[in-house]
Amino acid sequence: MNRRALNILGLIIFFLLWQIIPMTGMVDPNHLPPFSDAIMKIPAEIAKGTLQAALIESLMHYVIGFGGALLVAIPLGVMMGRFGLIENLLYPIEEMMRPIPPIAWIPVAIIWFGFTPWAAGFIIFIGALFPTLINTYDGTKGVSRIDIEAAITLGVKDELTMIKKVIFPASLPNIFTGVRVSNAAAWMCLVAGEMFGAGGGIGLELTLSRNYMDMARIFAYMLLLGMIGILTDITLRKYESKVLRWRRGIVA
Amino acid sequence: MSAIRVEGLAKRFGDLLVLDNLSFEVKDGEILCIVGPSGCGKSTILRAIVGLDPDYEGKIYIDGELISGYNPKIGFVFQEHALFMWRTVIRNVEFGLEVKGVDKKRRKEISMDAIKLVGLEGFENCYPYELSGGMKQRASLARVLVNDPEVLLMDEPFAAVDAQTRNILQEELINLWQRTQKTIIFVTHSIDEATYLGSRIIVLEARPSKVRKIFDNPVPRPRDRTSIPCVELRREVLSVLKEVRGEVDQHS
Ligand SMILES: Nc1ncnc2c1ncn2[C@@H]1O[C@H](COP(=O)(O)OP(=O)(O)O)[C@@H](O)[C@H]1O
Ligand SMILES: [Mg+2]
Repeated sequence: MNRRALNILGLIIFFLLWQIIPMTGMVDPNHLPPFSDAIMKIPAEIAKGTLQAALIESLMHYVIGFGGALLVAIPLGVMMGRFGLIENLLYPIEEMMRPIPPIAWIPVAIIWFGFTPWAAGFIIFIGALFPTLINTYDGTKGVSRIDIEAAITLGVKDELTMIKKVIFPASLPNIFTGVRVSNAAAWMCLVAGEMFGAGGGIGLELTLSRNYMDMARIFAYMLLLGMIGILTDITLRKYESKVLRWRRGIVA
Repeated sequence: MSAIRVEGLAKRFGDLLVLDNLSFEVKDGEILCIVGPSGCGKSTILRAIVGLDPDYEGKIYIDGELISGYNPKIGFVFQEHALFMWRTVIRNVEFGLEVKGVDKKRRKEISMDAIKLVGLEGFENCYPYELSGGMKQRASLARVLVNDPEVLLMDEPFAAVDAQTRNILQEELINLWQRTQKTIIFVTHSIDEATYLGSRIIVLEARPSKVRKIFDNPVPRPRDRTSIPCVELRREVLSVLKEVRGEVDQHS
């Protein structure tokens, strides 16, 4: 049997077990509702309009937090990699902030921004910032000397041109690695922040479902999160392999 | 008139004195080959001339004018190909023009001319990983040629390709040189290469480097590597190089 077939078989077995085990009564269906109950909640939630509303709220948080993080992390990482002054100033701060789990910022975010999309956006921002920052910084530092020297002998005189034409494109593989890790961190922070009530969204729906003791609804929204996660990762990978076509021969 | 004059060049890396009071001239339109024991400072000389290591003592003139730092009259071909892996052949070749701000259409025209000149037509949209070693060096040469330098510095450019390709590249270089009348300084560790290409050949001593002997190469072009005068010259150069190497061995 080929790989694809095995992949699908694995999934089928997983969902079948999820379906059968609660039905046999081996576990309490109130704790683990069968798969069909969970999946059927999705059209029901769409019909009520709740799912779309939560999805749009979450996407807004994602765009604010993740987009903002990339806008800050990439330029800052490049500058840290290229300018000793900035590197030496920021490195200790970065090393001190990075180990703090982003979730720890939730109370701060809620006090600073209230129960608004900005609070969720801020938590996501913190979570997504460091992976991209660190990888961009590493990539920038790792640009080979020969590329830089080649550029100098071809007439590059100013730092801005060097960054635009050599440092940034040469660091792109590392930057992409960072962006994908940031993306995963962003979703984690998004759910955590929203569960605390920062701005609504899918996370808040999870908390509400718990209040209603509606397990099928919890699993429905979890399935939705899984799907979004896969979708964003696939999109990023597609884009990455297109932009990094030149690496095919190197990584292979 | 001499295209390049090196006067009293001295260079140290920490305690290591690599070049000490080195002087020589490169005549307008000649191919000057430099040979010498490995580690004697051949690359160091070229890097000083092209402005990659501006931290040296002594004076270097081009057309009677003192050089300091990057000079657009000088082009540099690295030992390893040093192509930008993220750019296709044509995008590599047009790099220098891009930096100068030449418009896109003109850039393409000039780059295609250079690509044709080095025999890479049809490969302009390939990425470096898709090219053989010889093709990479051709592309590197084209990338330097679009800047139309008067002097080409080449640091063991064919050292990494197989013997057969190497001979072809040497012939092509001679054709190109005869068409463009560029002045070339060519560093090599191959005496065969030096005698085939060089209008003159400089043999350097081991560190700290001095000129041991300068050979004029009277063999008319097109040269036949196996002709008696060629073989004679090779023998003479080799015997001087052997003396120099012998001295190195005695030291160590
Ligand atoms: N950046 C550097 N720092 C310290 N030593 C160097 C550096 N570059 C070259 N050297 C030393 O200088 C000597 C000459 O190097 P190089 O010019 O590359 O020799 P060649 O090209 O003749 O083989 C070598 O002993 C090398 O180790
Ligand atoms: Mg060398």
